[in-house]
Amino acid sequence: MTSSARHPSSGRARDQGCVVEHVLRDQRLMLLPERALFWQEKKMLVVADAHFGKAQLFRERGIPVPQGTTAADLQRLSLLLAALAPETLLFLGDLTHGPIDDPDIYERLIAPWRAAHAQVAMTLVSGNHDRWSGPPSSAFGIDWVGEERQEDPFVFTHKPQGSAAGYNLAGHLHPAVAMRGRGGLAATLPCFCFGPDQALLPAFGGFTGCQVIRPGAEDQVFVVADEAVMALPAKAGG
Amino acid sequence: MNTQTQTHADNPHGPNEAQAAIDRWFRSRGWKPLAFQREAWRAYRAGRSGLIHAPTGIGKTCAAAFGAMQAGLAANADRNQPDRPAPLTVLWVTPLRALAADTLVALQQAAAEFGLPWSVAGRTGDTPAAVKKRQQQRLPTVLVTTPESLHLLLSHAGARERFDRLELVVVDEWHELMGSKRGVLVELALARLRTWRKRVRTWGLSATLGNTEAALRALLGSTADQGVLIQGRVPKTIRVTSIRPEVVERFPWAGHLGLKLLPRVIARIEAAGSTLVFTNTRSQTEIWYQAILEAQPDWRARVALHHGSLDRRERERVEQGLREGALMAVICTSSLDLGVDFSPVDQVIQIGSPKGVARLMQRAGRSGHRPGLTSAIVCVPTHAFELVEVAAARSAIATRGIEPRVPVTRPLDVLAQYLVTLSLGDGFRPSALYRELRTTHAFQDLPRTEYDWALDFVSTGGEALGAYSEFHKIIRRDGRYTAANARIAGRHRMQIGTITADAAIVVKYLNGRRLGSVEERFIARLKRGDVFVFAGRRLEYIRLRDMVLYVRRSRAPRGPIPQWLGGRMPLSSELAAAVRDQLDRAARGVADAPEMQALEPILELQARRSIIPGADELLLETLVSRDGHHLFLFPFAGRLVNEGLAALLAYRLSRKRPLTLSLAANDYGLELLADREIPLDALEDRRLFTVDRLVEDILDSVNAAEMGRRQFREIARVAGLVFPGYPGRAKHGGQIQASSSLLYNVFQRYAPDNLLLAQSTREVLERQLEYQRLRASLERMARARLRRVDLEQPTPLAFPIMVDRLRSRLSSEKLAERVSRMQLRLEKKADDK
Repeated sequence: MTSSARHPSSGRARDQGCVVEHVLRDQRLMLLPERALFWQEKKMLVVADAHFGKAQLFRERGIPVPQGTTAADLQRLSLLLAALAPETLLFLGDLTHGPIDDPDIYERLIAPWRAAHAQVAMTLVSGNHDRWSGPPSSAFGIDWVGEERQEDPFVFTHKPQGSAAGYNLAGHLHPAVAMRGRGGLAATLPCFCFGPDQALLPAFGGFTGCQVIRPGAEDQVFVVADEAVMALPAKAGG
Repeated sequence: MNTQTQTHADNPHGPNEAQAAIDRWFRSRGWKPLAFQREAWRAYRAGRSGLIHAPTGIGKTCAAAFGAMQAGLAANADRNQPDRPAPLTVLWVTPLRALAADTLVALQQAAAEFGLPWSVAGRTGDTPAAVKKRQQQRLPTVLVTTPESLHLLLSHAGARERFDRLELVVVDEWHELMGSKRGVLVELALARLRTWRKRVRTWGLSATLGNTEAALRALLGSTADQGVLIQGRVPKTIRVTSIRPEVVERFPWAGHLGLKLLPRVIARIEAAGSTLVFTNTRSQTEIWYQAILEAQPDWRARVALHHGSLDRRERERVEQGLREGALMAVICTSSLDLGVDFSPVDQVIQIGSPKGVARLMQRAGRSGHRPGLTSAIVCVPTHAFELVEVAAARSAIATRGIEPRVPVTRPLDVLAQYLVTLSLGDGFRPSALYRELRTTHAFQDLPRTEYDWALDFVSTGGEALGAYSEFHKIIRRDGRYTAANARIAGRHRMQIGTITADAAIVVKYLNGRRLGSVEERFIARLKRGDVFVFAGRRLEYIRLRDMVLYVRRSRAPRGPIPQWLGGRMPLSSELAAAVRDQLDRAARGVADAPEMQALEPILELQARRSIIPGADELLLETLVSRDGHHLFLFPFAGRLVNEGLAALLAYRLSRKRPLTLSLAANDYGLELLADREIPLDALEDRRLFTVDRLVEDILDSVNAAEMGRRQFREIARVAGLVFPGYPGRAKHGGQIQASSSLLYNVFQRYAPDNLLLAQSTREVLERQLEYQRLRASLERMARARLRRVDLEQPTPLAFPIMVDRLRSRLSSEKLAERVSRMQLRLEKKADDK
């Protein structure tokens, strides 16, 4: 089901196994350490919970968080777009964090970025934060498709939900797992979690927290350990 | 210090009459003014400020208040009934709300007996909103308040006029405040009041303290040269005894619950008329209360518990019971350490380690609470080595090895908060405020660059944001800084203060009666129908709504007990040194204290499995267990310094080869734990203990072990980056909440030069590691004879560190490399403990 592959965004050799290819319903899904998923058959890059503009919103409300988080996220995304050349970039909800007072920031920051990737179609499946933010700025040049997007054999939503129409890929939870080992080894790592009929993607945004989940015995978990995605041994969860 | 000469600046007829009133007050109680009280009144008349250092319960309140009351009587001598009370004249700052209530009653009574036309009232977080609103119109003559509420007063427009008749500020329990950021809040407010009104006198009251001169300097700042230090020397004997296990072999080696000696504690309570049982944490209070009632169900009406998370009314009921003598025992935490006024109890029991010499003396002072009487305290160890600490504390009291409190210097988080506080009222001019700040002890060396940085941080968001204008907290208009908008003002007022707590959930009965508050983390583990123990009751979780947990009484036999952060106190360095001394004597076969004799079987076991380290020896124990490879070292430097040593040694070891270490420390020693063998060659050739490049290595190790991350939690909260929400108020603004840990990451990555990060490192270095002490410990370790023992089984000294779950980590390996040796962690369910 799963095999290691070279990271596509780098011509130079990087550590083996830093990207994982996960085959699901006969589709090849590349799990990227940038906390994104690439569906090879459809040339579709999927990104959940970007929360663009979150630090901006904090600053506007009087909390002096440093600048540069959204710009760094955009740059990370640009590298992926350049390396993978997807036809579609699908945002799995929470594209922006909330309604900021200074929408010009999108013109300054997003418009040039969007222009540099004009050939990529961008789609947004709506998340709870997107409803709070209102319609995305025209700078995104994005197709807002509502709560759900069906692309057989998958159904893309922001919040995980059961669906008869296909296997559900979702975000929203910002999933992570707590790991431990002998000698006091321990870490909490963002993860991809594939269940029998539903998968959770890690949050893409650099200024987002995470939530520790407890995978079930049937779940297959891939953790993001800095520059590598690693499969956890099956049935490690309980 | 200054010697005082009496001056008569006031009305020459007034003082005599006023003095007569005071003499009558004392006579009517069958007392006589003590020398230090007269000295304080004289100094007050002469317009001086100062510090009164005297043990608890010998009349510091009279010493501080009566000078101003005397002056009030004199000023009032030629006036008849005024139509309304005099304006704000005396400001009384106290660290505890419970204390405020008592002081209030004492001052109200005195003012009434003297016939002063004064109103005396309190203003704290407990004061009802309606009363606060009335006070907004006009403050009472004597206002009893906390540092936080005082800052709130400073945040209102027209604050200056409210204080324009102020004569005296008393800072009660200054020894308790001065070592913390709350002390800095006091220093800042005092500087402000002195700027507004030069003649204001400041008097600090302090109980047992090792560094009174420093306390005076911190209180008075740049005016300290004119300060008077008044010593209330009252000979008071303190007797420290202990309850010792009969079979020490079956006594636990670690843990802090220690209910083993419960039957003997109950027997002691039964034998005495009244008892205070001090514990070290709020959870421990709840546990002991439950255990005592389980053993003695008919004591329910006569035994109570008291700690800081209980609702005010609950606490007041207990305090009242103590005053009336209706209670035979109260189980409490440091919430009753400070001067809450009640008659001395017959006996004081201390559960668990005393942790510090001054603290034990203060608690002992709760018995025989009058000049000349003997104070006695009975220590109840919860595990074996606490017996050593009792013997050590006794010898430290005899040699007056009392802890100093080190005032906090240059906390930029407090400064950032204060700038916003002042901007909410009438605003401030930056240069004038800078000069004023430099008159405080905390900011006397504040460089202008750091001040400007703090101003930028709250006005433009700091250097990293300079180019953009979206951030405004305070705004400069016509040379003054004022608050940007009402939304920010309202939110800031709710977060004034420096006490870090998790978001608190208020616990209420369905009928609305409040029991107190617990931390959100605890409630998060429970669900509807679960039973937990709080406020001495077994409670069933009914529903959680808007930060309020509704409960009802449960008949279930038991349930989990909440834990509160900040429970763990380190052993003071003074006590740690005394412990080292006791063990050295034991190593030489001397065991004169009864506790050391009782401990002999354990010490023998330590000697059999390893050795008892002498004063000139450094014990190194290694052990291989299921958990990995353990290395234990015993510098006996107190937990904070031991933690720093652990990080430093781990850093130096991991530089030699890729290594991941888990670090733990207690007051005696430290542990390095790895899943592979730890290379010990460096340790044996002593380069590991060198003081060369020490500062650089400490800084690197603090960063590598991310020790600043823990410190940043408090800094983020004080500087207004994290908004904790308030008990009883609906949670809001969730979308602009981020954990301090996430913020720490973002700052590290995007604003690594931010001074708040630098401050968290500095706080680790100064307040936690205490560089000088760490260096001295390292030098002692380098000189000591290294005694290495490879263990088969853990020793009594090593075991308590081994089971400690509070650990930090340091690694020179890639994350992916480490992750390949880990498995999913299965979370434990909330269980009874």
